[in-house]
Amino acid sequence: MSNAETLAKAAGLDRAWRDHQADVEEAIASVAKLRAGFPRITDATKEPTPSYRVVGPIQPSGPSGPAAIGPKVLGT
Amino acid sequence: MSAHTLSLAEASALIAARRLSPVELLTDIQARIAAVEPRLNAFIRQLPDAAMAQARDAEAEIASHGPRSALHGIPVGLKDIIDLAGVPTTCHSKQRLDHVAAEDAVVTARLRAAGAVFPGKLSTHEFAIGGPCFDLPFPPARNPWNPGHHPGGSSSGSGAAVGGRLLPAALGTDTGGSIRHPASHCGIVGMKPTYGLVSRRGVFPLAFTLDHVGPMTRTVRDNAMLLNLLAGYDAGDPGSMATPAEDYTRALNRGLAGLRIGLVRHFHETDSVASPAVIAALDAAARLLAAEGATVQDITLPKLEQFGSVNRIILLSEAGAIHEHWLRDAPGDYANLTRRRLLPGMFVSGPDYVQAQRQRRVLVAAIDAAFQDVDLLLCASSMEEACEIDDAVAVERTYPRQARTPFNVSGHPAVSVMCGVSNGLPLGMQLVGRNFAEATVYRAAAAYERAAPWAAMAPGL
Repeated sequence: MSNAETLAKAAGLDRAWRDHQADVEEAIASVAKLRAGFPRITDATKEPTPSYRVVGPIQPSGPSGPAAIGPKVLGT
Repeated sequence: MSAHTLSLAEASALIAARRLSPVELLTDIQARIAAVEPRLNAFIRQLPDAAMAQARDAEAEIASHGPRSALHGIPVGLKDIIDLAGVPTTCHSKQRLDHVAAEDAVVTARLRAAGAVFPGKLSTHEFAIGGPCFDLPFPPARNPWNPGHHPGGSSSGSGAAVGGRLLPAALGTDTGGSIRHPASHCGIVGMKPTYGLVSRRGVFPLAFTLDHVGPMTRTVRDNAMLLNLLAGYDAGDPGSMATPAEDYTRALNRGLAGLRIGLVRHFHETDSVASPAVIAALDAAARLLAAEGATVQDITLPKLEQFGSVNRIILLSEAGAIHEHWLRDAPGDYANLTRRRLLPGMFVSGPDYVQAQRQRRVLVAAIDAAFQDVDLLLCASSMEEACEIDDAVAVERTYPRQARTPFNVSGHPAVSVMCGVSNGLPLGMQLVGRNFAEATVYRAAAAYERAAPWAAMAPGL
């Protein structure tokens, strides 16, 4: 089994490998190129965008603000 | 003057003055569509009867109570990934031929509440990612300036319909430049608003953290008028931002005095070398903006390749998550080009995606830092005019040769306006603002539009 076939089957793409093998091989090659297209951050403290954030209290802010529109108004 | 040539603002003013009725406007537009659509394929589905009923309702209401809004009785096209209740949202795909929208997308509902008329659903690249394909149930849209050429994408039908004077306005979506690409190639105005300003709920997603919905029109004023009705917080869209309502037309006549504009020259001169015509057009635009009172200086951002790679890794991963069931079970149901565009997302690793999102923060910070020194950025849109639509190699080449993806990565508002002509085809440039500074972007775009000769040009269909 070739590396490409192994990757395709690991991704659940058995049918695509069978019917569109050239497309799958092209996809694998194109991702390898993209992966090298930007610097890899090695500083462990740098977080991705967007950071995970819990839903916080939404402050009322007048007639056009979230208090007037959104249903999840936790603050008063 | 035929009603189909009126801008949105002109038609709106005539309707408000009772000098043009919505039925007269739609009748003329439907005649224009009948005459030109066979050459453009801008529509996936026309809705002549429903639209005429909406126009009649608008006419009656305006006669008795006056217009509800500036859009009352105005036809607006919807890219066919945007839901219109009771009508299929096909995404230009065989996979979705029978999918009928149960309710309006939020943007559709906002336009409906404003009294807009919906003449039909417009062509797109399949699932807003494919490209001009000839193996789908619907043909690809074509360029109104020369139907042998690509109109840009993925909001192809929106660009073709507005540029071809079939509609005064349309909605598009933009994940890697899909509003601004057709806007540039079709000689119109396309705004990708700040991420979170316009709701995406009811719009088939391509990539959650990069998707934007925005207006496509023939003039800057029309664009701002349409954004006035589209913008607003939606609790049902996790990316939506609550911002104060504002009138985006308010600064259109203020001119450029006092504005500082940073020309991102390296995007089109070294990162991805543009055609001589595009380079000359951008130089001329920078000179014109300076002559009109702006201070224009060169500014440096990270290289285009970094933005492009980060955009593609994120886009492919998120699109892969949305499409994986189809890619696994029915890969043959996509157009060949769409399948080739989507498959890479199945091979992006978790660390690749997170690294791209980490690098995204660095890139966003670089743009925000630039906005400490300038109010706006000026940069290329496409690096050349539209290629021939049946030249598959040239079509493939057009997608990475652009400077639009940086602002999908960052979320900043970016408008494409016409800035020249090459070989009979329009060229576009971008003006980019700070987050939620659409009014300033429109201010500069309007000043440029008044000073430049392009607004008077139209395709010879």
